[in-house]
Amino acid sequence: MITKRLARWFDDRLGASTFARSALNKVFPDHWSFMLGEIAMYCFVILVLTGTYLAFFFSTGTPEVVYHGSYLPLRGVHMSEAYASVVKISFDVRAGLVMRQTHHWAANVFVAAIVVHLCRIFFTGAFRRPREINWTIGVTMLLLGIFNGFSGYSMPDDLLSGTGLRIAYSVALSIPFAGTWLAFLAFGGEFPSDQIVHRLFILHVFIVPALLAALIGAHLALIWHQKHTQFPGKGRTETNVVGSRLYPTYAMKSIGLFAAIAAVLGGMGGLFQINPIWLYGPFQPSSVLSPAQPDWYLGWLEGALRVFPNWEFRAGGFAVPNPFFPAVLLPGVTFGLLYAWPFLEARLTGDRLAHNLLDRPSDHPVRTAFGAMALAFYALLLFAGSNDLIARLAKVSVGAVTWTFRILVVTVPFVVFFVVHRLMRGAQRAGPVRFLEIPLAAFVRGNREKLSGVAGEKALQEPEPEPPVTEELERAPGDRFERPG
Amino acid sequence: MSTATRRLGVLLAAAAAGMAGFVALGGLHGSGSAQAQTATPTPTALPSSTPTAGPGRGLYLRDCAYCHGARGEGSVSGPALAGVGAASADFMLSTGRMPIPKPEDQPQRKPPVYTPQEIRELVAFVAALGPGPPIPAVDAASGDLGQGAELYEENCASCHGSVGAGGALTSGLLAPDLSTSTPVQIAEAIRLGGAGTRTGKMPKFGPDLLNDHEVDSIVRYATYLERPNDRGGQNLGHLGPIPEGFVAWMVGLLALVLVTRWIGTSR
Amino acid sequence: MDGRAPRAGPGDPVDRDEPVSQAGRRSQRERRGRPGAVNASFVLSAAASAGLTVLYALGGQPQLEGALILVALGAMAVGLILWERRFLPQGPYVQAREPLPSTPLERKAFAEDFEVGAEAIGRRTFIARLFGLALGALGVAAILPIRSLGPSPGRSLFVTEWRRGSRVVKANNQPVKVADLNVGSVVTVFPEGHPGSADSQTVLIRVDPSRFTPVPGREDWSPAGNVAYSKVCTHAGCPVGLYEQQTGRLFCPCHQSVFDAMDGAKPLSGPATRPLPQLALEVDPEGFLRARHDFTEPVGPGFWNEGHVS
Repeated sequence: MITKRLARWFDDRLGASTFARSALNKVFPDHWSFMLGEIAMYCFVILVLTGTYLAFFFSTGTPEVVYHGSYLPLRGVHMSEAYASVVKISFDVRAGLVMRQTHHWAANVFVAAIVVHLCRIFFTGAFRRPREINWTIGVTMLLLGIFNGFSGYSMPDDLLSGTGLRIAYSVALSIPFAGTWLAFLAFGGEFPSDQIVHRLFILHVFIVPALLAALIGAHLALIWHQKHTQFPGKGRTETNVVGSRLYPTYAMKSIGLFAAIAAVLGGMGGLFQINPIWLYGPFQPSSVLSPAQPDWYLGWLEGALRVFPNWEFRAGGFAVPNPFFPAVLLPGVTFGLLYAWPFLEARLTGDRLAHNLLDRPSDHPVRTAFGAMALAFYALLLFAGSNDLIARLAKVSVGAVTWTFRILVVTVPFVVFFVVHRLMRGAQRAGPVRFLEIPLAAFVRGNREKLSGVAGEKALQEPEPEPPVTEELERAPGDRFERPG
Repeated sequence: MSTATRRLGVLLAAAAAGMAGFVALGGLHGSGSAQAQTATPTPTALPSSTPTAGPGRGLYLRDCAYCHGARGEGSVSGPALAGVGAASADFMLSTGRMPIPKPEDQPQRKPPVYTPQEIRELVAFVAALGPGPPIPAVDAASGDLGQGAELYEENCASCHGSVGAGGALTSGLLAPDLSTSTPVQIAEAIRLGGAGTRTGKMPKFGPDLLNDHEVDSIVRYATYLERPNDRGGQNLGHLGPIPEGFVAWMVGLLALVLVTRWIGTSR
Repeated sequence: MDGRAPRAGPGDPVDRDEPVSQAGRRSQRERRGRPGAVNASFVLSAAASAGLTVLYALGGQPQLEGALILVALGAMAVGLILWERRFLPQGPYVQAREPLPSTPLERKAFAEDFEVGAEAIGRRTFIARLFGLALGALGVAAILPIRSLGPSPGRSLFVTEWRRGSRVVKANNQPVKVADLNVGSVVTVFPEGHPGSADSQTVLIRVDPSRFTPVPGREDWSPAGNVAYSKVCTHAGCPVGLYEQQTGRLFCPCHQSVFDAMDGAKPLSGPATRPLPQLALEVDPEGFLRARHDFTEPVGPGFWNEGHVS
């Protein structure tokens, strides 16, 4: 009764009944792998909620204070206001530590979810026309997520993150021509400046979340407008969408997922300790601790800095110092490739058709193998970032571990490419069979051999013509199958 | 052969040899010493005059003289002990670093072979071999915890880790974990440098660098680190972002992907 | 397929009497489901939330808070998902996917309208060019405030706080005498008056002179075996905090560069390419250690114009 009156009240002012009806009935494919992006989105929501709460207590001040809170080992110790405020949140604000830890766990899971989602998009070819714009938005959000994670854990001004800021400053310095200016303008002078925590705060709390919110909005709007992709299957064609309707089913799935994400992140926030800055101590420019690593999503950069050999260019008094190559050039190439990929692939394969049906990974062995190779490369770099810990636990020298990783990083990715390519070609050959049931012979036969049989014809065919819609699939109410003109 | 069996063999052999030695009362070398498992140290000449007698002397001559010399003059296998002082002897024996199976290895903390009484006797003997630093007098309770935290962060955290869990050095050596160290042992290591060994890498912090109160404070903080405040929950080994990243993927993301598999379809 | 007339197109009024398909009615009837688990989930969730309230009132405890959040929200999630699976229409439903690109007619209409406007503006090319000029100039002016974000690098990277005769002090501002360190000792030092200075941080070690090889020309830089190097790693700037006194190595924990303190702090392994700059020391009449002059090269990691002091 009330809802009817409420609906009437809004409709009188907005006239949105038709739109609302089509929205409620909109069909979304509900394969589980299509929800990975939602994990990231809901992590963002939790980040904003917990982050807002933390922002009420955090201070960006760098002037030194003497700590007098309830964590005894730091009583009487000199530290920045920023650090003191985070210790206060952790010990003297009720529920503060859980909020803080939930925030940090959410940040780590956020970027992890984006990466997994990116892999799903990549390996199923969902970035192809007409979705290149969404891919571009997605890669940008990955970049922003990484930046916000780094700025977030650098704000407490503790010894571990301060060391990371020093490295970031040095990386900026290493950029040819403009490096010194970039570092001095960004930080406000020589390292450590008294400005950096405050500047990171503004970026972390205002600029980047606003950009992310806008980009998420655009990302969702594009999915809405272009409609989600789907795997090929019974009744699914390039010109329809099969799945569940937004209301009530998909909405409830999504809200249930949100509750699950909040549960897992909140649970981790209380049960697993993360970033115990009170044990690291306040940042001092002349102190350092070991082991020293950044959060996982920067681990590949850290590993690159460690295993890249001591090469640098110097001529005529000018230098391109060592950190430039692993920490500026490598990520530049990485993200350049990521942004360019849809266009690169379209050019290389000559496929400029629009696609609404997804690939199975075996449909494009080269793409799949290349993606696997890239994952192997970055994963190896990530593990190389913990070479000192590996050395300690395995009781071998750090130098030996470093050299091992150097060799692995330049050899394993190629091996992975070869192996995955073979596997995918074998899967293609075997046709629509479960992967684990494919006979080994299918993988072993050389790549040169022309694909034969059903699988071969299938791989060479154009997309199937649209089959008639069957009775088993219900049409969403209000659906329109014909368009005028 | 297992460590336990080996130790039993050592004790039995030591008891037999020690009895013979005591009876003879004259500088007989122990032939069944445990250290001779793998190394074949150069035997030292019979001394013409022996150091001051004492209960530790017998133990020393039986177990230590093989590598360190009957008068503590050292040999190819072990450094000279004359002048290392009670502090070094106490550190080495109470942390179990000595006796060491292979002289060329980095001395590692192990359960001590000797009883506290035997250690005291050996220490007294070694101290008498030549003037050296005494066992430091430590009063952790009078140390300042906050000052200890600051000094630990400045001087110790880079090698031993923020929570004293230890860390990797070059060439496969390790700065050890501090969680089982007593206050006296920590103070000894700080004052000795190289932790008193030939291959030791730890720097030496004399009284002009860290006065006794500062050492007390560091000891107090290091003792606190044996049970640090883990208010946030499971401490993941205090290893920082590495296990945290692992947990984010293997606990957080994995759980959520399983949830999506439950919610969504598989076809 | 089911005998209905073609549906209304976009913009057409909806026929209010249009029948819902039989299939649709069938699916929209509530499905038979078992509500027990769903009910229990929500009850559990409520109980956990109540527990959280009580816990908060009692002062809170992080692990309990985490566990109760997990239960409260987790049970909520389970309840919602079970509710959805057991009681809500599952479909699968199908919907048309209209071609995305506009029709040629639509595109033509858009292009024509756009052209009309553009032409109206563009006919006055001189005005348009002047506008472009003004906009460009404004753009340049608008980014000027960025310059206020920080000082010019100038000579900052080439100098530290060390001066001729600066007394060597520890972090607590206590001066260091030539005999304070034992062989094998290490301490972080700063110029007097600037304890804690980031670019001036220096590692002072006392070495056994018989194992130390001074760099040619620097024989008098290390009185009585007191050697001082910049503590800022020449790779990426971390403090080179680990000193292995027996091998005389300085080890940086960030990317594992190793420097030989017995031989001019030359890099032995790891990504560092340049030795740590050495600070020239002397002893004053009272026995205190002082710097002869600032470092003779920039400390810390490299940068583009490091060979050209501006």
